[in-house]
Formats: sequence, C-alpha cells, structure tokens
Amino acid sequence: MKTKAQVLPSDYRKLPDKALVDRYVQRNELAALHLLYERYGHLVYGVCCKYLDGPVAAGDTVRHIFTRLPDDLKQYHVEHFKSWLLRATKNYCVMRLRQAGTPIPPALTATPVAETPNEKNHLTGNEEQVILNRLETALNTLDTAHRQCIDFFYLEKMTISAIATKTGYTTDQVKHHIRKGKHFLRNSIKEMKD
Amino acid sequence: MNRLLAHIFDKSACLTKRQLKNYVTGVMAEEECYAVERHANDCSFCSEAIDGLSAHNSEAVNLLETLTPEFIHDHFHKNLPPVHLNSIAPAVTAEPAPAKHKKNGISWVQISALTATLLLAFFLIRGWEPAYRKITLPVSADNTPPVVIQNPEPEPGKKKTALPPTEKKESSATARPDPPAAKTTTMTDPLRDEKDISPVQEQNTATDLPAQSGTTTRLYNAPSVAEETTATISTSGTDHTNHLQLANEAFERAHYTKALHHYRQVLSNNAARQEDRDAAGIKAARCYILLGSKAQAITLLREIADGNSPHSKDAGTLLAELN
Repeated sequence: MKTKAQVLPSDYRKLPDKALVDRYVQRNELAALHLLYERYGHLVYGVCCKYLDGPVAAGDTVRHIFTRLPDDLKQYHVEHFKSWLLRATKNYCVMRLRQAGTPIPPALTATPVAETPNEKNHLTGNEEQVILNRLETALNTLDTAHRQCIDFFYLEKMTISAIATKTGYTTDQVKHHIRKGKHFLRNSIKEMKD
Repeated sequence: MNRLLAHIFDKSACLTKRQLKNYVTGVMAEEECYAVERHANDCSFCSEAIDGLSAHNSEAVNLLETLTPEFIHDHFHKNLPPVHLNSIAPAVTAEPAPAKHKKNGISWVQISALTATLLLAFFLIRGWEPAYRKITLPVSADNTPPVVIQNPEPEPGKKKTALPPTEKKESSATARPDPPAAKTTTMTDPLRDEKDISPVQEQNTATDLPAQSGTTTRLYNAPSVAEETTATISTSGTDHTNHLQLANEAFERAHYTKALHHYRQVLSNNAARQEDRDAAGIKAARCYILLGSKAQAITLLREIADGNSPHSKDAGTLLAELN
C-alpha cells in the first residue's frame, strides 16, 4: 500500500525550502507542506525533546507547530525556512516552559547563528587555490586544541567520539573546538581577502 | 592536505529521519556517522535534534516512529475542505444581487414636482386668467366703429368709483344674448394704474376699460354693460333724457366708454334738443380726450363751436386747450 509521501511528485523532492514555502503560500499545495514536514519534522521533535519534559510533550509540540505552520507561512514572509523553523520551535518551547514554571535554559534564548552560504559555490579554480593557501596559513595560527581537533576531524576524518577518546576531551569539548577553529579560519580568510 | 581542507566550508543536507534514528541508536557505519557529525557540526538544528534524541534514547526513538504527517492532512482538510467538481457539487442557488444603495438626496422627480407645484401656486396667486375668462367686447347695435384708445392722459383730480356688486346683478338680469356679428375692439386702459378696484369690480368695469395700460390687449366675449343698459332702454322706449342721465352717471364713475356710448346715443337722436345734444357732444369730447382719441374730440368740438348754441363757447375753450 502506497503512503501519501510516496505519491508526492518526484520533482518536489528536489525543490529547495524556499520554493516549497512559495508553492504552499501561493498555491495552497498540500504536497509542499507535506514535504517540509518530511524534511524537518523529526528535527523539530529532537529539539523539543532536548528542551521539554519528554518525548510525549515533544510530540504534541511537533503537531502544534506544524498545525499552525500553514497560517504562519502565509502571515510571515519566510525567507530562510530552516532557521525560521528552529527559532519558532525554540520560542514555542520557551512558551511551554514558562507556562509550566520551569527555568528556561540559556541556549533557548541565545541569538541564533545566521546561516552562512556555501562558499565553494562562489569560487573558481584559481580562487579556490588562493583560498586553500590562505587556509593553510591561517591553520598554523590556531590554538593547539583547535588545531588538533580540526586536524583530526577534517584531515584524519575521525569521528567526534574517536577524537574525544584520542585527545581526552569530552565530546562537547571536541565539538566546541571544531566550531571555534572553523569560525576562526573563516574570519582569517575574510581578513586576508580584505 | 590542501585538497582535504577544500571542503571544510561545504554544506550538506540536513539529516533525514532514518539518519537521525540510526545515529542516535548507534546502528550507523563509521563513514556515515562521520558525515552526520560533519553536518551536525555546522547545523545547529540537526545538532540540537541529536542532543534531544540522545537524552531520551529509546523512548524518543520509538515515539519518533509514530510521528506521521497524517495529522497535517486531517487538519488541512478540516480547515480547507477540498473543492468539488461542478458535476459533483450540489447546485448553489444564486443569491439576489444586493439592492443599490438608495441616495439620500432629493431625486429629480421630486424636484420637478415641487417646481410644478410652485409655478401653479404662483399663477393662482397672481391671478392668471385662463382662456375661458377672456371676453370679446362687441360693438354696439348701432355699428359704431371700434374705439382705438392710445395712451390717454388721466384727468387730474378725477377719482374713480366702482360699481357695487348689486348693480352687476341688475345688469345681468336684463342682459340679452350676444350679437351675431361681434367685432373685436382693441383698446388700452389709460387709467388702470390709478384705480384701486377689486377683481369683482374689475369685471364690472371691464367693458369700460378692458385692457391694461398700453401693452396688453384684452378680448371680451361677454356683452358689455352699456349694451345691456341700451337694450333695457330700447325695450322700455325711453328718450334721449335717459341716455343723457345714464351717460352722466357713467362719466362720474369714470366709465368713459359706457358714457361715450350713451352720449353718442343722444347725439344721434334727432328728437333731442339742440342744447342737450351740444352738452352731450362736449361730454363725449371729454370722454374721447380721456380715452386718448383727441382727433375725434377735436372734430366733435369744432362742430359744436361752429354752431350758435350756449355750449359753443365752452366747446371753443376746450378746443383751444386741446390745440
């Protein structure tokens, strides 16, 4: 027996989020909404599981958010659906926690990091070589912990748990070092460009 | 090393449901696990979802399997029911078009009706006389020529008196039918502006001074009071003395046409005395003067002045005044 997801048009799965949002807003196409749920419903559920009491409350929250989604998409002009949905999910979790009188964790109210474009798409062959040279230069200026985690993760292709085992850091520390090192590299390249 | 660093900023698609579940449950191969972690390192959404599911491992994963998009369809169809085809959908009765908003202002029909009412009231107040009230003044039975009166000068100090309503009743009681060949008389009313008479009295004096001053010509069809009086006299067989008496009364009442008619009767009566005829002639001349016909007055006065009557001197004096 075919499910409704299987009868979706095949072209829909190739469409970006913005196109799906536009198709629902302009044409009321239910298939677009269905596909957005397929892409992000489990992620919303995971986020709700992180901040709310348990999986049951998280499931209710997922249903509530996607029930309101049709109206919200028509009410707000959504450009970046993924970051907008993450923010909406966190806001709803904050509302639920306030209703329950539970203290709100700082991560829920922190300013979200803006989405960065895929820089590779903007580079030609010569430019890529120049960027790689700058990366190697910037890599030598990193801290030891950052440099070590970056080397293991991107050059050795080790998993986070393996890096944690090898270096003695916790998994969260490894993730933090990788993010910080990558952020430093991006800024260094940008400064070299200027 | 450079080639490996080339994809450090690349972005990949978010984790699927299966990837998330396998990663959390630990049933994923090492290469795929590395790909998930590499993406999660850049994607806060997936990273937090992994953290959340990892906190409630088995229970959360079991519940994740039950989260299907069916509720979206149910909710969507509840709020936005599917549109039926015309062949399936029941016929919808057309609603009557909403009535046009009535204007608060006065319509042109009301304005025209109001204007017509005002015009009617104006004519009624101003004494508009319809065609049936117009009267042609017939010429008397002796076929005297129509009297043409033009801009007579009112006699100074002469005050007009109107006939009482009873006199009209008496006159109409002795009236005779219209003569068969009635001639139209055109005349103007020189003294109308000086008169202060009511519409009823105006009817009584209409035969004497029928037209309004200088501009309007009135046609009278009803028999004149003079003719009615004449008919009464002729039927009773009275002589010129009665005519003279009636003429003097009419002259005193400023009914000059009526008086002139009686004076002419006296003048045409050969049985009358010469003295009475000359007196009537002078009075008739005065009537001609008051009615604006000086030429006829001069002719009449010359005839009297040329004679040897006691009134010749008066006629000469009046003639001199006229000249």
